[in-house]
Amino acid sequence: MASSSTSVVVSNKEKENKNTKKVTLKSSDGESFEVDESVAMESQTIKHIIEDGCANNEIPLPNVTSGILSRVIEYCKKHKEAAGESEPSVTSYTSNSTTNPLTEWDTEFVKVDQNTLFDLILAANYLDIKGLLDLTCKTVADMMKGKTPQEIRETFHIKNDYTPEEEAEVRKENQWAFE
Amino acid sequence: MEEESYGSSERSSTSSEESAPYSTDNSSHATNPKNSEEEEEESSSSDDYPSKRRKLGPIVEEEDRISTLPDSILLTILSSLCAKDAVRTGVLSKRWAYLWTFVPSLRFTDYYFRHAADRANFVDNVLLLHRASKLTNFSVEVEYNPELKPRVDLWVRFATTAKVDQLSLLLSSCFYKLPQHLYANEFVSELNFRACEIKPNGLVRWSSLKRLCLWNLALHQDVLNKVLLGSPRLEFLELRNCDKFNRLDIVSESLKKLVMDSYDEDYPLELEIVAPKIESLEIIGDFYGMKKCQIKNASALVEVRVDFVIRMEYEDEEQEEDHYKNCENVVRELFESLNQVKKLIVGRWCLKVLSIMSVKHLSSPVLNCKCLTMKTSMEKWDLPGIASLLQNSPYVETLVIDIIFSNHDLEFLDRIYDEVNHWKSKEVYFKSLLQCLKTVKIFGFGERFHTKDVFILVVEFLLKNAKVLEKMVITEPWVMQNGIHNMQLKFLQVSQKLLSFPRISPHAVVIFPF
Repeated sequence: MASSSTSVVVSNKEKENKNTKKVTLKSSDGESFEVDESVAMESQTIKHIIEDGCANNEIPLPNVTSGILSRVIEYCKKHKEAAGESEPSVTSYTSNSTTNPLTEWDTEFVKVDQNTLFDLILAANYLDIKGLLDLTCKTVADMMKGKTPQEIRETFHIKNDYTPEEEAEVRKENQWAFE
Repeated sequence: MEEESYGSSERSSTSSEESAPYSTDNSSHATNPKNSEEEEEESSSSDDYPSKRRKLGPIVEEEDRISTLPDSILLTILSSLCAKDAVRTGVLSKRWAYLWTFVPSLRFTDYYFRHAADRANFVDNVLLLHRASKLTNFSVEVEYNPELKPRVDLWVRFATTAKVDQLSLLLSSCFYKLPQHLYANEFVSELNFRACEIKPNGLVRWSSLKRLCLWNLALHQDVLNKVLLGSPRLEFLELRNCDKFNRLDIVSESLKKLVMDSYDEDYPLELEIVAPKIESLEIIGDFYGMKKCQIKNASALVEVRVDFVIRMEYEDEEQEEDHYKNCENVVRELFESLNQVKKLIVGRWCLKVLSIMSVKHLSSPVLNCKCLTMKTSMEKWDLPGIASLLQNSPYVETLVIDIIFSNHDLEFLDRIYDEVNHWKSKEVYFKSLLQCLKTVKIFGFGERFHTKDVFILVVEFLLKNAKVLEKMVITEPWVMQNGIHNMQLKFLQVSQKLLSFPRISPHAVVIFPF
């Protein structure tokens, strides 16, 4: 007969809510965010601060604004949750999705304006969160794929600082890449 | 993270003075017709833009933030691009001029070039200018001919000198013989070979190798032995469309995941896997002949996907019967070694074999899986198989039904089974089942309404008998978003009918998320 194996899943979740340590992160504009320590440790930078014992009161993050920090925390929470799930996650195989069940969520997460995207990149870099950095960088790369240089300049407002002569020179030198 | 500057000009912030009008791009490079579906937030129209800005005076310029990013981040971005796109960034501006030459990832996997010779020239040019001392990824996809051998050898040498982590040689048309020096490499952690000839003279020493994919190549048992012996850290092995073997013994202490995809040879395959640490197994694709597939000591196995077809040509009924007898044996033996698996995905063809077994009143092994996924076309021939699987999986907590199109004809079954009441007759055995079933997810319903009777039967049965059911999710957003009105109406009618079925579980919720 089937044993009550469902109870295992329930108690895991309960344990998580009771005994978790919290840390407080302070954004550059003075807002404080309380998060589970395990979630905060998705950031290697924060992880080292905590492990070095310097995280007594709050961890100040002078390079990250509150708007961006709240998004980063959202990302870390979601990914920590997914990693810790004891039940096998259920995915639809018709979509040929790979084993990452968060692909859809991630895609939605990076649907932001360019400024926010670059802020997220810088924050992920500063906080050393590999998954977020990879995701945001890949998003930018996707915006560049298959575009002509002029199209790329327009997308990102890159100023073409070549003089016409310099540009002709550069184009000739790189001609083999444009055939 | 460190920020290294690679000698390019200082990252200039955008100046406030007017820039020269953007030059229109009229060089004749091949533009990729299928532009990616990225969001272009602030795309500008082409020629009017500069003059517009001049008229309005000193307005706030859109900032060029991307160029202000540190080199290391830009290189991470460039690493996701194929080599062609990466190289082209060199003309964007002075900041970008030689940045790409330090990109640690070189992927020559786009399809811009029509001729292999052009592709080879492009690769050579890139390697000439490339300056990074360490490569994380080197991938080449090219149509191969024996004349290219010396050049490909040089590329491999280039990659291994740069201590590449991930090397991919995806070739086609002809076989490239891997250079001997490649077999002794302590840095590489991932290898992907397609249409390569693997013939090590001595031992294989891939001490850091974690992932290996072999596609479309000849694999001999002694070569496989050398590879597995020489890769003590190997965790992932994929064999796709490989041939020249009839029997494969896959023996590895470290292997965690194995994917066996398709097989086409004259003699039926015997596959035996001895991997005590293996956690995940996939047997997928078309097998033109399979005699045996067994896993010895599958105690660590958690997740299995059996989504394959054994194809056979037969000329008469007798041969067809023999073929299916063989299939039944293979499937039964396979499932017997999978009985401890927690997550199981059963493909449509295997489900049909289970149907045949069920109709013939042959027993199938009991399974301990907690999460069961069935791929089915929801036709009447699937019912016995579905019934049999549910009957043999008493501990299932999550059930996923993936409805797909199938063109497998089973006239064979027509001859020995023609009653849908087979399902009803089995219902009496189901009373004590579905004790643990909590979640049901159904994908793909809606595209084929001729299957709806079977579908309704199954849903009704689940609702009636799953005592601890918490939620049932039925999705087919395609129909509701894009379907014609007629279909949408039909779908709504079916949905209403499903919602009206009696549910034995007091907490059950049926959700149609769209």
